Amino acid sequence: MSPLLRVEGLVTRFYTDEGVVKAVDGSFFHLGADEALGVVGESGSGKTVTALSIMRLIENPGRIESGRILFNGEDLLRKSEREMRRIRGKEISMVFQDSLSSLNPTLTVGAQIARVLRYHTRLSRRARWRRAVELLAAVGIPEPAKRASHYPHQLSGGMRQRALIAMAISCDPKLLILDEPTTALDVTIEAQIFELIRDLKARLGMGVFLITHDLSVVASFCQRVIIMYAGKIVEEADIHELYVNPLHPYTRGLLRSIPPLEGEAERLESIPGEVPDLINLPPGCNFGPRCDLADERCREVEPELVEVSPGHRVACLKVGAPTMGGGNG
Amino acid sequence: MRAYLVKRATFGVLTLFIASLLIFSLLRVVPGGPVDALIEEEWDDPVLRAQLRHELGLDLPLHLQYARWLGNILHGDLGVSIVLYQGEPVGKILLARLAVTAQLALLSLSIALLVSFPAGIVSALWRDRLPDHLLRLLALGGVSTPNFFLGIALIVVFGVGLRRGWGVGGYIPFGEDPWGWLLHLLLPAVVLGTDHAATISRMLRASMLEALGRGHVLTAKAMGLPRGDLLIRDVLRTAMVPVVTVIGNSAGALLDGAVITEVLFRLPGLGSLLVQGVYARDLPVVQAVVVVAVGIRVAVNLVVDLTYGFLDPRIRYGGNGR
Amino acid sequence: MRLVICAFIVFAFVICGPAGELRVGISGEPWNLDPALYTDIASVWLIQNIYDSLVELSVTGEPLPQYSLCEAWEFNADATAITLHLRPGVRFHDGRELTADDVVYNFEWILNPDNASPVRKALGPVEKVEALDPYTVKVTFTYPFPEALQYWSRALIGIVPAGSRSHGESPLARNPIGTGPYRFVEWKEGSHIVLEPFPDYWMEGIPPKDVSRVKFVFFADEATKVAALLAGAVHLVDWVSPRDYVALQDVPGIELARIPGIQHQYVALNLASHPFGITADEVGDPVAIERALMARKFMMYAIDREEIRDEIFYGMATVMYGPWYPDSVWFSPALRGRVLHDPEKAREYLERYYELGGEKPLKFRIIATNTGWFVDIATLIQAQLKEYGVEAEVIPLEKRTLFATLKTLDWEAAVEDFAHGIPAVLRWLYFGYYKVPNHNHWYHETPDLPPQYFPTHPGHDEFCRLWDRASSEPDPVKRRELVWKMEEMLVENVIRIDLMMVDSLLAWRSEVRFAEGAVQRLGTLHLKALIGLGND
Repeated sequence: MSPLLRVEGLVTRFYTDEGVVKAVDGSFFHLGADEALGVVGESGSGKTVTALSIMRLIENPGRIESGRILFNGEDLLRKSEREMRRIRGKEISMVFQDSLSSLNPTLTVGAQIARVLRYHTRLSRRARWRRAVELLAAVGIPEPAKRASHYPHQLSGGMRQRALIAMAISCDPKLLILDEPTTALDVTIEAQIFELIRDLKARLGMGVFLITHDLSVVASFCQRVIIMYAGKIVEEADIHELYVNPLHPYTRGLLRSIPPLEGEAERLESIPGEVPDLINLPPGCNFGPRCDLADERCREVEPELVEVSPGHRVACLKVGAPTMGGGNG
Repeated sequence: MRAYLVKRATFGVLTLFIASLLIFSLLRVVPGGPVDALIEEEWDDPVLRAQLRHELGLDLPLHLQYARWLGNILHGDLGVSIVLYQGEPVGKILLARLAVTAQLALLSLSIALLVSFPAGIVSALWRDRLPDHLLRLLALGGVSTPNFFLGIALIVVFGVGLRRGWGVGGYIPFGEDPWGWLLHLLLPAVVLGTDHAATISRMLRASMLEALGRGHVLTAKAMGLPRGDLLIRDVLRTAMVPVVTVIGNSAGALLDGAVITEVLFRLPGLGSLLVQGVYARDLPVVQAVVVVAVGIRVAVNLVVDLTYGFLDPRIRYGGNGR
Repeated sequence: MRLVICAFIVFAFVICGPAGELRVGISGEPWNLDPALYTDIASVWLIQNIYDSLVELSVTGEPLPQYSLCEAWEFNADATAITLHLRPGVRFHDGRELTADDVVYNFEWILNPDNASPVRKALGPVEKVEALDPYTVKVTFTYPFPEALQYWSRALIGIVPAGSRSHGESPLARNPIGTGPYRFVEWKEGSHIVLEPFPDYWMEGIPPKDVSRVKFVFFADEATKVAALLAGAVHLVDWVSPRDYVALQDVPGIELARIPGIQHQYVALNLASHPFGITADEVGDPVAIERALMARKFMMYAIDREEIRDEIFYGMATVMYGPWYPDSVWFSPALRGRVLHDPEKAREYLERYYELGGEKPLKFRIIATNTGWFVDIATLIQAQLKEYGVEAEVIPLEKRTLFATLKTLDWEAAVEDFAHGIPAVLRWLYFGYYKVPNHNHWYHETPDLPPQYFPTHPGHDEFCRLWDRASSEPDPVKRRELVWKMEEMLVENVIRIDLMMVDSLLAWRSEVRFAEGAVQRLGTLHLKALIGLGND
């Protein structure tokens, strides 16, 4: 079965006064219809821009330079704005990070959901409102009929996020993109939200593209993971494989910095150095300056994403080719 | 919300009271007074002076004068004009002038909104591109051009150049001649309207740019909502609060009467009445106009506050949610 | 099509107004239309057309019986009484005929102090007024009052029907009833007053048939007023500024006239403070008196009046050589034509001032009203004085603030003007220099002024004696000589610096037609002179 989403050679740049920001520099990945794909990276790694590129929400001074984004076989980059509007919210939905600012403060929660339904469905006004209440119930909001008449500022953080999710799934999208959906929430709520999403995914049969900087979140939820650094994908693998056999030095750094749930809290290690300036990227491998394996060649040649074992791809000169030594260093 | 409005209303009344006290005292401190205005130097006579002072109640101690005046106002009696329109009740004069000012204000505000809204929206949406630069230049020009210059320019073009009677000002009541009424108010309304349009459009642009950057705009786009709906419900609606403040301010200023424009175009409005009253030292008139003008401002501010509540549910329901 | 015609008619109506409507533009708005209670100039324009005067005077002060309610009059031998012969057949706007009783009523109401009429004093020393017969009135004075007619041109600019005022109040302020060629219709505050022709007016052909109504339109801004004249929105205006007059000279459709004016521009000097006067403790000190006189004489010769006339009034003013019109028989021939601007003399006097202990350099303030041309005059004088090293500071003040300041000691020089509503030299000599308790007069004597206001200068007692004699001298020739003497004293002691008399500048549209020579005698706002309104 061909994947739901296939991204090929996506290049997105921002033309600012200080220079050209290479936000996404040639991404290749895919997502199956029932899959949950996690995208992990620090801020500035290009994960959100990737998502916005898929949604075609990149605006001046940003531009999608090249590539193909195949959704159900059709290249989204070739579609007209009008066609995209029909897709957004209906076929592909996105849930953003800060729920308070993501909701219109002057409309009730129910009205905002109903509004989406209005433009994507033919339901009558009353049916729309009923559906909105149903959706609020489906995302686990108690007293949904009453809550639908509330304004966003009258709801708690967790409830707002649920409402946003309700809005996103209101038209049964095939692909749900979540950009750091729980960063602003505390751990227990976070767990509830993910349980909800998992539940919805199973019931509605959606593909989920989860963006996060938190590897532990990915572990509990996703089937596959992509690690991004400075605009490039540096590693891609099944979640289990990644945890057992992280290959890219960056990935290994990330894993080392997760506090373990059990056992002694070993020294947490952070990765030395800083994320590079996307306008002035270092020559060669983007991660080079922070990598303790880097050598001369790393500073000259940009590594390509290469499949090292089935389903496991890495972009590292030290790890890449199967002929080169195993990366235990 | 109710408590909020009550608090604002109370402040308003307090402001009115203080304003009345201030203008009352200031007028009696300023050199020269109505008696000087009414008696010419040539025929100055201590007996006549004393007579007039007594008639005008100016020989009473200050606080008694104030008490008497305040008492009258609370009964709806604004006094009688003693210099400008000797013998005429101030209330009647004020009402007539206020009517004219209100009509001019309405027309000016309409023009201002008609011009500033499209301008501000276009400016924000086409930010930093040609339409934006042009409109901002125009707005800057509008704000920098003094009213009297624009007014005189228009009078020269329409009144003298094109020989249009309505081009040189004057006021025709609506009942007498609706078309004439409109024509005569048109040029002064343009002068005032463009001035306020410049301010409103600048605020609208800034506010919209801020709103455009808000998260829920992105969400709305991500939900595939059409641009028109997005513009109105997400961008404009949330951008409106500071704009409403500016509009309210403009409305208040217009209702206080734009003196220069009124004088230039011969419109018998509130502003020119105030100025004439001050020059002539017609105390009852000036006191009444100031109190009414402050009252209008207070009322306009209250309306603006109410509008906030209507626009932004966070104000209406208070607090930051639970 | 009908709509177009209707729109056109409305449009034409709006532009042109109803056919036969005469529109007059005036500066300011009247305060009071009762001829015994008015105090402002704007009211005069209306009053003089709604009412008639007993005796109408021309702009140069000569009586015009053909325009007056009195056909004739005569003084008795020693000018202690005057007999007025009224014109029969004059009707008020309410239909009644004017008789001597009405005239008596007018006098008595004004004379009654309970009515607080501002013009009471202008009636003069009236002892009694009696109606000898329905058309004859005799007015008796307590002492000779030969200038009665000149004074009454101010005090009695209108005759009202007997009984039309109540005690202390007057409905005529807003609802005037007179005998004039136009009667009152309506007053729209802030906008205009409408009058309509009075068909029973006593003058032949006045008001003209082609005037159906007159609208006095108020202007607060000069530029708009002139624009309205150019656009045809008004046919007449009260006056135009010298600059506008020049600008209007070549405009087709606009007529202009320049007639002798009554606006007397002068520089007042504070005689009770330094540098132009002496202080309380210097009374009788000859050095201080001489020093102050030197400063004043310096000013007299340093100021270049011709330059002021040309720069600020575009030449449209008459330079004055003393306190009265230079061409009048009442002006001393000894003063006429003397040299006014003499830099050498000015320097001499300035030197003398310094020698006598005057502060070096000479510094003082000139206050001036901030509307009109006063600040311009002051600034020009400031520039003229700079050449002598004298530093004058110009302080613009709002009108009433200026008047209030003049009553204090806190000023040195002031640019002022005075409109001679009463064209009588003795009146001016009285008000300007004699017993009126006001600023900087040569002689002050009232209990409510501070002690600084006292007789400070030699000759003032003689001046007062001369005035007393002149005011009761029935023989005009003798009176004249006394007046000349007083004028010479004032000029020698430089009590005030007279600059010039500004011409009255009139402008009107050519559609408006006046009787032959009437504009020169009455100006353009005496609508008795109006004989026709041409087509727009």
